Amino acid sequence: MFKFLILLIVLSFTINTIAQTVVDLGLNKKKDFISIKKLDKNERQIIKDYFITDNDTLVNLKNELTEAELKLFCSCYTNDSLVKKYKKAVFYYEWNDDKLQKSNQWNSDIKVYFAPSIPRNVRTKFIKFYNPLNTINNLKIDFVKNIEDSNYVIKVSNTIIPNLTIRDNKYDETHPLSKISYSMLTDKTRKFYAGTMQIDLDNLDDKSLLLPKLKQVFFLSLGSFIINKSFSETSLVSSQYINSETISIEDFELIKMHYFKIYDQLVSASKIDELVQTSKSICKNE
Amino acid sequence: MNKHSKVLFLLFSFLFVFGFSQDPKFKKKKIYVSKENFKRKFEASDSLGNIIIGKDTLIEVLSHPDLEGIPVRYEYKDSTFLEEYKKVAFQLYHKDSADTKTMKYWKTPIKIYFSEGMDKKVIKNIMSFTKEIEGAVDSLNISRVKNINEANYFIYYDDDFQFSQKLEKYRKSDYSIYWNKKSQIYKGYMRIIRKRMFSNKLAQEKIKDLFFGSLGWFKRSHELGCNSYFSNCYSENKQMSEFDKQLLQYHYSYGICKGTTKLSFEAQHKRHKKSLKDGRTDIYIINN
Repeated sequence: MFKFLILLIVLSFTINTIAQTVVDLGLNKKKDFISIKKLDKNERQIIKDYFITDNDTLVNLKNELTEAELKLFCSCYTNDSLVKKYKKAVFYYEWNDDKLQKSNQWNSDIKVYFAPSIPRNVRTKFIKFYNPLNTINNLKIDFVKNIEDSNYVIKVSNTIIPNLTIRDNKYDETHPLSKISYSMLTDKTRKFYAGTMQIDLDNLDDKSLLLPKLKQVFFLSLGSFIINKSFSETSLVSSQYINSETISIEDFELIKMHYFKIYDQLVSASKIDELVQTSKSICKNE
Repeated sequence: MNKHSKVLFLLFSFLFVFGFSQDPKFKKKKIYVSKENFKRKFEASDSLGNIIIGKDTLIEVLSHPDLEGIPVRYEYKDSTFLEEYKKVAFQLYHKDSADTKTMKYWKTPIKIYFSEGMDKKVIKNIMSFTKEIEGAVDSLNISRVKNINEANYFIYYDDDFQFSQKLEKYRKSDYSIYWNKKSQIYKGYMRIIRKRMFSNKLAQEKIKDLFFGSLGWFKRSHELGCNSYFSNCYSENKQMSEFDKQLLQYHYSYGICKGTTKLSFEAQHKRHKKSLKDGRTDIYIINN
C-alpha cells in the first residue's frame, strides 16, 4: 500500500510537470524554419513541422511557454486588480467597448538618444528613473550618445506644439500631453521599432514640468498606453501624476505584464479576456 | 465553361506539357495544348491527335511557335514548402478572392542608382546584401550604376530629386515596381522618408526590407517569424535565413512556370505531382 502511494505521488508529480511544460497560449504562431542541425536534444522533441531541402532539413518548433514564463503569466493574469488596470491602460476599456482594439509593444531594444537641447540634469534623472526597468524580461532600454546608434530620439520641437485639446475640452500645460508629442514606427503586428518624442520647450512656461512630461510620455510610448484619471497619482499613466524619483510598483507591474511575452501576432482586447479565462484553468498550481 | 475548365484553360494558355522520352535531346517530345489555345494558334492540319484529361481535351501538336528556350526539369517541392511559398508569392485581388494576381519576377539585370543624398555606408551595406541575394539566386543579377540613364531601379530620400510621381504622395517609405504583360518586372523606385528613418541603421534596414519585397512583389506573411524577410513584422536581427533563400530560389527557379496565378500554380503542381506519382520522372517546363 505504501509503495502504491509513493507511485501515485510520483506519477501525479510527473503529470503535473508535463502539464506545465506544454502550455501554448496561442500568442506566438509564427514559424521560424531553422536547420535541424542547430537543435539540441530537447528541441528535437518539439518539432512541429519540417521540410527537406537539397542538403538540410528545416524545422519549425512548437511555441510553448517556459516554466518562468508560465509563472509570470499566472502571477499577472490571476491578479484581478492588475488585469483591470492593465486593460484600462492598454485598451481604455471603460470608455470604449471595442474589443478589437490592439495592443502595442516594442520588439527591439530601445536605444534612446537625447538631443543636446535637453538639459543634462534632466537627462541624468530620466536615465536613473528608467534603469530599473531593465530587469524586466523582453524590455531593454539603453541610452546612447550618438543618434546613429539610436532608435528613439528625444528632442526639442522646432514647431509649436499646443496644449492638449480633446473635443471642446482645453487643458493647460500641466496636462501630461500638452506641449509634447510622440510618434512611433510600427510594423504590421503593432510592434514598435523606432520613435521620436518632441517637446516644445520654448513655450513651456513652467520648466519644472519638463522632466515629468518626458518621463510620462516615454512611459506611454512603451505600449501606447492611455492616460487615465482613475490611476493613482503615483502612476505615470495618471493625468494627475506627481513627479517621483522612482517608478511606482503599480507601473512596474503594468510593464511586467505587458512585456511578459513579445506577441508575434496582433493581440486584441478580446484576446486578453481569453487569457484571463485561460489563467483560471491553468494557473491553479502556480 | 465550368470552373475546372477555366483553370485548365488558364494553365494551358501559357503552360506546355512535354512527355519527353529519356533521350536528352528531347527528340521524342510530345506537346499538348488546350483546345482554345489550339484554335487560336494552329490550323486543323497541325493536330496529331487528342487526349482527354478529366473533362478537358488536349491536342497534340508537333511544335509550338511560342516554344523558345531551354526545357528545365520540373522542380519538386513538398506541400509544407509550397504552402509557405503560395502565401508570399501571390498577391490577392481582395481578401475573399479565389484566385490571385500573377506572380512577378525580374527577367533583366537590376541596375540600382542611389541618389546623392544616400550615405556611402548605407550604400555599401545594401550592396553587400544584394551580393548575398545574387549568391543565393543564380538568375538574379544586381549591380550599382552611377549613371542614371543606365539604371532601372532608383533608391532615394524624400528630400532628394523625386524619380517617381506616384511615390511622392506616400507618407511612408515604400517602393513601386513596373512589369510587362508577362509579369516580368523591368523598373523599380524606392523612396525613403528621412525624418522617419532618422539613422543610417534604420534607413538601411528599411531599404533592404523593401528591396527584398520588390524582387517578386512579395506579400509579407503573418505566419513567418520576424527574422525572415518574408515576414510582416520588424526585427533588428532580420537576415536572409536558409528558408528565405529557399523561397527566393524557388521563385526564380526555371523549374516552375513563371507569371502564373495561384490557381494555375496549384493546378500545375497537382498534375505534375500526379505524373510523378504515376512513375513519370521526365516533366519539363519552358518559360518564355
